[in-house]
Amino acid sequence: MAIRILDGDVVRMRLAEWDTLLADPEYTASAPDKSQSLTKALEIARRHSAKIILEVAERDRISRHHGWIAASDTLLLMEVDDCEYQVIPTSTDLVPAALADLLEVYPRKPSSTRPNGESVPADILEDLLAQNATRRGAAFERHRLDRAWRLSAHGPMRARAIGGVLGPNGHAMLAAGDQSWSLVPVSNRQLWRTLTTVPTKLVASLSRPAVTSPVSE
Amino acid sequence: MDTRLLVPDDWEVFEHASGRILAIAERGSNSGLFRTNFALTVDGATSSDVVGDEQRFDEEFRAYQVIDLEPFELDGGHGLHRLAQYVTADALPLTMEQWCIGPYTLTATVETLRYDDYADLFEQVVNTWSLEPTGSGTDRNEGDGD
Repeated sequence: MAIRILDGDVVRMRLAEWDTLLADPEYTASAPDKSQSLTKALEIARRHSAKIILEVAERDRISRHHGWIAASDTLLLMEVDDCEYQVIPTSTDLVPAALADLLEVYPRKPSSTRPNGESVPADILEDLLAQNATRRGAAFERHRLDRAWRLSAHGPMRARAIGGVLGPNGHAMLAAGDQSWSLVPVSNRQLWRTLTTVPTKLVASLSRPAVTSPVSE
Repeated sequence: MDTRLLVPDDWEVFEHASGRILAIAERGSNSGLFRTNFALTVDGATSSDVVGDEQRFDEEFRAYQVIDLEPFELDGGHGLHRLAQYVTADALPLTMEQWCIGPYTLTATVETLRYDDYADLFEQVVNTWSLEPTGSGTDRNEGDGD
């Protein structure tokens, strides 16, 4: 098993290796390459209340980051290089900052204006987040976007997902209407509001039976 | 130039001895860690050196992360709206929303995980803000306290 422990107790591994570790309750006690980060990471993942997966795609690459959210702390497995993941135990209240970082929520000057609520196909994210590079590239070309993302959250009662894109006029989020789906431009302030609710309201909603969801179930 | 804004009537108002800082804080706190607050400061002219200001914040605040910077207009004047997050020495992430215009800076600060609960209030308070040629003060909101 190739677990790399770098200077500063930085732990990196492939996802399959992480899954093996997580499935082995004896690992923490017997690990010869024990690291405090890894021990903490396993401890958080084993008592998490919700799991999140953030997919972030650009025309020529796609990354999948994983998170196990517990009440006060969270484990992030951030894809850093060629399917290698960095193990990052952190505080749950720092999750929004990590998400904002990954989604590049920072000041930018819009270079064009897109009409509000542009209608898009319901499966737009399936194309933009496709593993197949040709399909993904064609979708980015067709919609003239720079980046697309989907945050799916899985809890004891249900799963929910939110998604969005980054284009020439800034961020937009996917919203379901009565008859169709649309990309609704959002300010960084609106997007930050949404991200700050991920470890709280979004995760709490996963413990309740599904009723209706503004985006998807 | 004076200024006026409406704040929730059940929040506490503190004036710094210098007369240049007015703080308005929520009474108590759900978590007991941090009291959501506004701070209105008077500090000469609003800086036009946005890049320099950002560098200063980056040095002053731990894990400073700017979320948004955009133009802000009030009573015909042009200013700046800033949204950012940083982490306190006690490792508490705070979201700071700031509106700068003329000699004034209004800063609202809240625990990041509670930002969504307060964002509308912040906007409501800013919408009551005015710059006036005479008179001054911070009025108590006659309406609800939220």
